[in-house]
Amino acid sequence: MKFTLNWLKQYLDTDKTPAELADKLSLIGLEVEELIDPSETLKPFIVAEVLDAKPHPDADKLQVLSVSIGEGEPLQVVCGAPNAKKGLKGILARPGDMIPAFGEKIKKAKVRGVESCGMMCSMRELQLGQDHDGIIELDANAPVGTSAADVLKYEVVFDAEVTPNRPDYLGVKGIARDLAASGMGTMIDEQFDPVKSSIESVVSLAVADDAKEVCSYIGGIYSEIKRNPVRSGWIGDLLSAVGMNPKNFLVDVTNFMTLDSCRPMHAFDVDKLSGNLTVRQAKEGEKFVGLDGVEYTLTSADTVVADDKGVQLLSGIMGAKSSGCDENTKNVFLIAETLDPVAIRRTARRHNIQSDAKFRFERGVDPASVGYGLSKATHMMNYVCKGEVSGLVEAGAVPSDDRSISYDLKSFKQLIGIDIPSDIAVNILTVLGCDVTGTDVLTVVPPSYRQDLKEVHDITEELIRIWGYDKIVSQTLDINPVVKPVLLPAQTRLFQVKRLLASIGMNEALSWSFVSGKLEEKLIGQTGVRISNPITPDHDVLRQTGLSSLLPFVSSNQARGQLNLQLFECAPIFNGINPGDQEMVVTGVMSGESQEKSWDKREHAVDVMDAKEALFTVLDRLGLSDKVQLVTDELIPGVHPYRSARVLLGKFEIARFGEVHPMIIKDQSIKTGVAFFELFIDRIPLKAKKGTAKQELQTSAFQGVRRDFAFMADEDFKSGDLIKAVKKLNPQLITDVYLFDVYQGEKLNGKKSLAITVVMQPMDKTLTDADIELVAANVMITAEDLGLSLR
Amino acid sequence: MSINVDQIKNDIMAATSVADVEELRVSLLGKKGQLTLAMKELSGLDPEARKEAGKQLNEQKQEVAVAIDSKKAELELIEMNAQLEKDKIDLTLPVNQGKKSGTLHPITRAMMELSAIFANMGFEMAEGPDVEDDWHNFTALNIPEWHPARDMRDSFFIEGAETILRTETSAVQVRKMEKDGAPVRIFCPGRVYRVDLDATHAPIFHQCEGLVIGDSVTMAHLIGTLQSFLKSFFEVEQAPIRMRQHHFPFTEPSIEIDVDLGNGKWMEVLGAGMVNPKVLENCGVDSSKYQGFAFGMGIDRLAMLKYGIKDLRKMSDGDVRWLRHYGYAPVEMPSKTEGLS
Repeated sequence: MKFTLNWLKQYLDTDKTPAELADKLSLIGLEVEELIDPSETLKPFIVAEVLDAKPHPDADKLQVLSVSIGEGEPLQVVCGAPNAKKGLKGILARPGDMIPAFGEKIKKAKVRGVESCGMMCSMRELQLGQDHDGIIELDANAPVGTSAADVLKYEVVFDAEVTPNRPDYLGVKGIARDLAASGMGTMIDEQFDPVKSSIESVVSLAVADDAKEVCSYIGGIYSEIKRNPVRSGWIGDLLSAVGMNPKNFLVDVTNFMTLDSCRPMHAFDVDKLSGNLTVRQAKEGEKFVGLDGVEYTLTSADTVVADDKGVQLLSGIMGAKSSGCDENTKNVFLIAETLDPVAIRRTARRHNIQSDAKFRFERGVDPASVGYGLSKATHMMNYVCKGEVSGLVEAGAVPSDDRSISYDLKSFKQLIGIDIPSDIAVNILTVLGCDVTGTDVLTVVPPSYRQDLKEVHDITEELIRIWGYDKIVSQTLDINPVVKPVLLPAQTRLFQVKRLLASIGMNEALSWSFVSGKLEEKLIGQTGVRISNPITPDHDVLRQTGLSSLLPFVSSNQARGQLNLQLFECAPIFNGINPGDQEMVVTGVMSGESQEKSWDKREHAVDVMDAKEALFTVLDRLGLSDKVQLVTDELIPGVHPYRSARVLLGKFEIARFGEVHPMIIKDQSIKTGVAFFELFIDRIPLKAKKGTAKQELQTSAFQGVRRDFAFMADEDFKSGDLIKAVKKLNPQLITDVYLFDVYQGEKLNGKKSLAITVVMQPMDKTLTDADIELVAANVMITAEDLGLSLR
Repeated sequence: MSINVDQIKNDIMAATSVADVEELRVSLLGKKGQLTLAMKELSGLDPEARKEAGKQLNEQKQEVAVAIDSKKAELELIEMNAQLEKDKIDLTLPVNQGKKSGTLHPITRAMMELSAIFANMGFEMAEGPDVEDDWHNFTALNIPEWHPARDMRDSFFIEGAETILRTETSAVQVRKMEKDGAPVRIFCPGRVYRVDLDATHAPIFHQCEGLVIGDSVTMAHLIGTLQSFLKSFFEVEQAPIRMRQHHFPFTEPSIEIDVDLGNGKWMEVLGAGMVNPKVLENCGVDSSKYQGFAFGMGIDRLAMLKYGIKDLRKMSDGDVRWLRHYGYAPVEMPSKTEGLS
């Protein structure tokens, strides 16, 4: 909502500065987002007189002016405005001055080879209006050399954010009322004499039965006017100051009423109507061409004002192109309606129409303002247009308003925590327009323009916002010692995983939950949840794999020259369209070298084993690295078929790791291989908290034994199977099995050699040679069962 | 045979290698060594003289043995040190060269800080889903279907479903109260989504919701709680704030809180208010017995203010240079014990 200081001052007698008013408004509920006070920005610009104007030697449309600023030598200025001529007084911007419309300082420059020491300004360049046809022309007696701030007419403009509960703020008068209640001035009573009726209306009004729920009341006044001015003077100026283009006087008056009193109304050109007007529901498929020139196909849920020919107004939203007023209108029928907000909102949404009237009606226009609005608008029109005016014609009835709130001042203390003195409370509510009786228990009858005041807490809010939140003496909450951890167990686990991954050198990234459907399709062979209104075409689905977020990061980082990456993210993936279909995943990607090239040769090109190492560091921490099963050699979309695995815990896939398929790498313009892991952490049951006390340590008094074995195996043999089988042989005795060598070479004819160390740690006796030989024999039998032979 | 101990000791002292000393030891104390032989010769003496000479010889033998051991130890050390010189390496060789140090995202850090602060005030953490239904995101929060307040938040809609991506973490309030009733004291950090994308807005950002419901929780408690939160978070004795009237359908009165940036400018960091009785009733909480407050804060904005981050867009574009610079080392654990920064 935009309004000007002068407009506000029509209703508020105040000596406060614009900044003070803006601050107060922000505190009481109308947040002023911008205050445009041109007096500051206009200061450096000065009045200059054109002493001479010559054609530019090299450009037809330019002139070279010699301008005086009252002192010093005349300045040479190149100017393209058609109206620049000798003797004109205008506004000069000199090098260093900030041009408001450009947000830039102007510089001394050569224009087509001729030096220019400044610029003669248009209204638009100074952000004082839309006029850019030429430079500003001042009165002949404007004093040369004085500041533009002293000679130009300008408006101080407020731009404020109106919350949906306060439609009364959508009229300048409502804003003035709140400022008066907040001690920023006094309300100026509006005084005008209603125009006396002298003729009968030639148009009558009716509300059809089917429209009564939407339109409870409609009123109209008919005028036969004598004058219809082309320009609408101060009204037009006010409208343009707040960004609304003036149309013609009659329409401008209705627009003024919309912005001034939040009272939208409509003016029909009676000569374009046929017959009387009826408020009714539209017929299914009925056509309507709005003022915007667009043809709308209406439905029976839309409420319209129609004459014998058809729809002339989409109620509360927009008039018809065919019957609007213009500068030739002689007979005017002005109407105003009381409408149901939800119905208006639905119709506007259905046809996707925005209008100032709709914006107000859907929030709630004062249901009792029809008569006032018609009377004031008629007064304003008649003041200029003269002529004859009818009495009020109407249909339906002003809806009854029996709100009366019993307000015990104790309820203020109960909710806010402090007492409010009765006289202050009564005063605030009274200035806000309520009828108030009583002292400790108040009976509050709110005004018709504050339909938002219905309940006790509505009144509490009015009192504290006007009295001031700074009156509240703060208190702290009682604290009960917290025994339970503050974080949910799953949260704690996730924080720990994050710290663990960062501690092994990975960088935590954060991405958007929506990703490119195309990429996801390539990565997992399907796209799940689509967004109806994506923010960009590349963010059209909710991800089902963290890779869809992190691969583009690899690509963008590599494009910036960062090839070696170790990124991870903990974020939700979405398996369905409903709440609860999401799960947390921990995704990691690695690319390039493990680290910078170094003299000690620690670097290596990262591959699937690096991803596995990171994943198993986490699984180890979760106590699972020995409990999981790997499923390998599967053809899964998006990944290297022979360098990827799924990790099962029981029946559930809890993780996967591998290398991204080279086709996708190529497609994403990634310059190195990418290894990844993805941990579906929510699928892992949370361990019951066992407390911090640990089982008593049992140390063995007997010597441990290590024995090494080397086996020959087929190339495809999974070494993990050997380790698992050996560990299983005698878990009490065999405490560890380490694979210490893998050798594959031409000499081995497609076989490979695996070498393991078996660690035996007896708890109750020293192992005899026979004991050790027995274990060794069992190890060899186990290996043979797996198809291995001793090397 | 007389033994010249001084001469022997001089010989030992003159030795220049462990091998020399060893040779001397054999020639003196070995099976056929001078002193060993002298000991054998004693058997020819009469008992009285043998006792006397034996005692003397034993003492001499002892003296020689000590001299040998000490010389040997001395020479061994010298020889070992000479050997160690070969182990010499260039100790200025770089270590951890180009090793990447891992970092946690500033938003994670901010969440850890928030948790530490709210823990201290007796709050528990709650969570809810990113995909929400109409009831939890709107209707239960007193934003009925055709209410213009729905325009305040442009939602992302899920295709083929009645669900949206949540526009505020307030939805978690509803879920918590539906599940556990009152009293309640929770905070709920999480992602929220709005159709908005420019230099200062991202379509996904992070909010932390708070909800306190009890039998006599007032607005004075709300302000006290938020003041101590801001003081703790920014680690200042006084946090200059300003409270402005605002409108949220789910609270009444509703306020927004700005913090003084110290340059004459205020920055909005919080929205808050007293929970609307209709919301309590919608969640099955008796509004005649219980009342309380709710607040929601933008974590991204708080993090930017505290950590000196200028560009919101860099938070979620994965630039590893940014992550390394603005991220935090995992060994830093914000807590009341170690401090928040």
